[in-house]
Amino acid sequence: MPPLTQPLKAYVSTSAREHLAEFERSDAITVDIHGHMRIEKAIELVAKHAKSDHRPGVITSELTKKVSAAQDRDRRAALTGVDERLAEMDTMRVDVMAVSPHPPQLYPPVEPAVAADAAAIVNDGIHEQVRKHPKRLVGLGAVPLHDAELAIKELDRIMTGLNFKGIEIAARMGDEELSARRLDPFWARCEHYDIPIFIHPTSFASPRLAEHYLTNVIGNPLDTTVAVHYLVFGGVLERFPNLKFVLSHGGAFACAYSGRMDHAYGARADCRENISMPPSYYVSKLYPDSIVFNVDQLEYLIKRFGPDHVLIGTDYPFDMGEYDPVEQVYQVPGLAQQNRDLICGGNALRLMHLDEVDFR
Amino acid sequence: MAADSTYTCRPYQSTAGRVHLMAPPPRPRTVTVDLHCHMHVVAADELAGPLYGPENEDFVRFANDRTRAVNMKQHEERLEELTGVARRLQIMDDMQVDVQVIAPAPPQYRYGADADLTRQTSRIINDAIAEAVATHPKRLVGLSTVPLQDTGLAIAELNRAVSELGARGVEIGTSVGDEEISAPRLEPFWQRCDELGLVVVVHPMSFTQGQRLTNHYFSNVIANPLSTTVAVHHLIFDGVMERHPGLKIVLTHGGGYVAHYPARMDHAHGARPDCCTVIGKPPSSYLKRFYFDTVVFGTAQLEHLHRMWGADHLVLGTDYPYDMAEYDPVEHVYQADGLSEEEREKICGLNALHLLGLEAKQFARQPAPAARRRPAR
Repeated sequence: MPPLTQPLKAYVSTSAREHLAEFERSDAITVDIHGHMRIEKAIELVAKHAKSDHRPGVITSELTKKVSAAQDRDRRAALTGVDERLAEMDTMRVDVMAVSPHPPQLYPPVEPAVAADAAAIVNDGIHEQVRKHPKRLVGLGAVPLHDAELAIKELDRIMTGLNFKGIEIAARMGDEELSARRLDPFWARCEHYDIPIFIHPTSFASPRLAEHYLTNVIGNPLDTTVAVHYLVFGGVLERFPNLKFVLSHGGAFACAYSGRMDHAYGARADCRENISMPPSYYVSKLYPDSIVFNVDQLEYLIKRFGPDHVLIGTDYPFDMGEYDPVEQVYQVPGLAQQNRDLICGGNALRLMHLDEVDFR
Repeated sequence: MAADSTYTCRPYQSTAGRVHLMAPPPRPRTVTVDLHCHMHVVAADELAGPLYGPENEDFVRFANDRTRAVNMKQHEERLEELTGVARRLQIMDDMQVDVQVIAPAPPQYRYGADADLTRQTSRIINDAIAEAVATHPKRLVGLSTVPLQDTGLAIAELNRAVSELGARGVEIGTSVGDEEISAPRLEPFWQRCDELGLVVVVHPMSFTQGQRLTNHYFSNVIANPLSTTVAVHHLIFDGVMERHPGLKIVLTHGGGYVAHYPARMDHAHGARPDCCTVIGKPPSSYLKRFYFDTVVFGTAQLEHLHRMWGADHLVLGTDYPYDMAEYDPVEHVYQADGLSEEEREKICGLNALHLLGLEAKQFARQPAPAARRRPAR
């Protein structure tokens, strides 16, 4: 390894920007829309029935495997439990975390019935921990998108019986995209509940991403980007205009670089098969989280999407996470306090049909 | 098909990516230069067509039938604009572009073909571009193509194009099949570009693993900015930019995704040992050294590029004469907020001239067109 200009730091303040020595936050409730919990009980069930790796074709170098295994060891307690989580939330100035499943548990490579059982185990596991801390944690659940009817069934169960506030889905369903028509009844049900649908990537299959952790650095935002393009051009947002998708990592490339979509729509017959409006009309409906690591990008997102459409996230407890999500919002120049409060928590509460008083 | 769309499909005109100025658009006093435009050379296809056809290319493999049909139609419709000079000059006048720096057409790179075949097609293309440039030296400048699959042959053709044909630079793809352009075997090629002070335009042509991208023309809409992104990460993380700080690399389409979303690289480099095996400095410090064209269609993105990388690192481009091109490149620069006139002059042409080692006085600044040729949308 070459001499670095600064030492390696994981699970703490990002090295991608300068930090504030101190700042005073308001007392508005802060909500992290992007934190994960792994339910180990579901892993055994999936392993028994798995047809393949949960993301075939995603290739990483030996060094990456080692580093990721070390992270797994370092962060296992944080990922599976609550005590470390609550303590770190305090450090991060996060009052409430919307706890969602660990992404590999979202679309396991198993038959639909097994996937439904696994999703139920994951959701029960999250519910069990979350309900012990009602003023600090809320749950976003898993649904077995392998089969729309089974997904609807689990959605109904967690929304009506387990007090979940929304769901997390993978950015694709194995080889299928989220625009697959078989999901239409499921989207209709999501519109009925008017819930946040948090989309999280699971990388992208290409041998060219094996080095330098590009399976995450590029592969994750790429997976989200392809998903957004299919939701737009595939007509999901045309058919279901009220769906509320929350996007990981600042909405990835799609939110940073959307002009090309509109141009394509205006110039190519093969880019306008399912949509009546330009792509940016649909893109504007999305809710990017704030995990972009620098202030400039966050500022761009707020300008492009509006302060009512950006939500802070951390990606807790991983090393590609943002450990100063509130500070980052306070670093955006010229942002009014009421807009800081929206981005730091008001938007998330609104999407989840919750109120500040629920957490005081 | 969705019910009546709000815009009619109109390629080769003002982009749907932004609202346009109603009044005749302004332009700088100084020379305007397009650093992203193409010429297709039919003679190269005549030689190589039967031996290495377009079916080998990612943009054809990863396309559904509708997309292939639209692409074929485009090639027919734009043949004159792609291959000739007269129509090119007329459109340049419409666009308020004084000078085009002509690059090869990406489908003609042929890096997957037998190296000697590509050596021959590269010669034909480079000769043709030079010949076209010679007909209008006050309006046209030439770049070149090389058989990048063979380092020795690539350097030989590069040397020939520069010393015998007057090429001012080279355009290369974003990979050689699955091999990165940062591969150790290409080190002598980068060394040579550095020595000669050449402009290297890095241009994508779909993506090598495009299986998910066969619909809605994602094999260009996503794959192109993606390919640039992957290439840039490798140039940075594999140390090419570290070893050759003087390289003049121009990235098309605004630098693709990475130029608009750069901090993730820095975060990873600062947090993970598998992200800093070669370079010691944050990745974005190398990204600053690239040059980004303006082909991003939307004004907010152009403003963002300017804020992040500075006016000295932006160069006007169009992607002439394709359908994914910008047909009002000068207007776009004038629509971006926060630029001084001096910065616009740089972006619209002076940066390009400086990179190419050329003087403004050798070129003819065109008079402004009497009226807009196309209705603003």
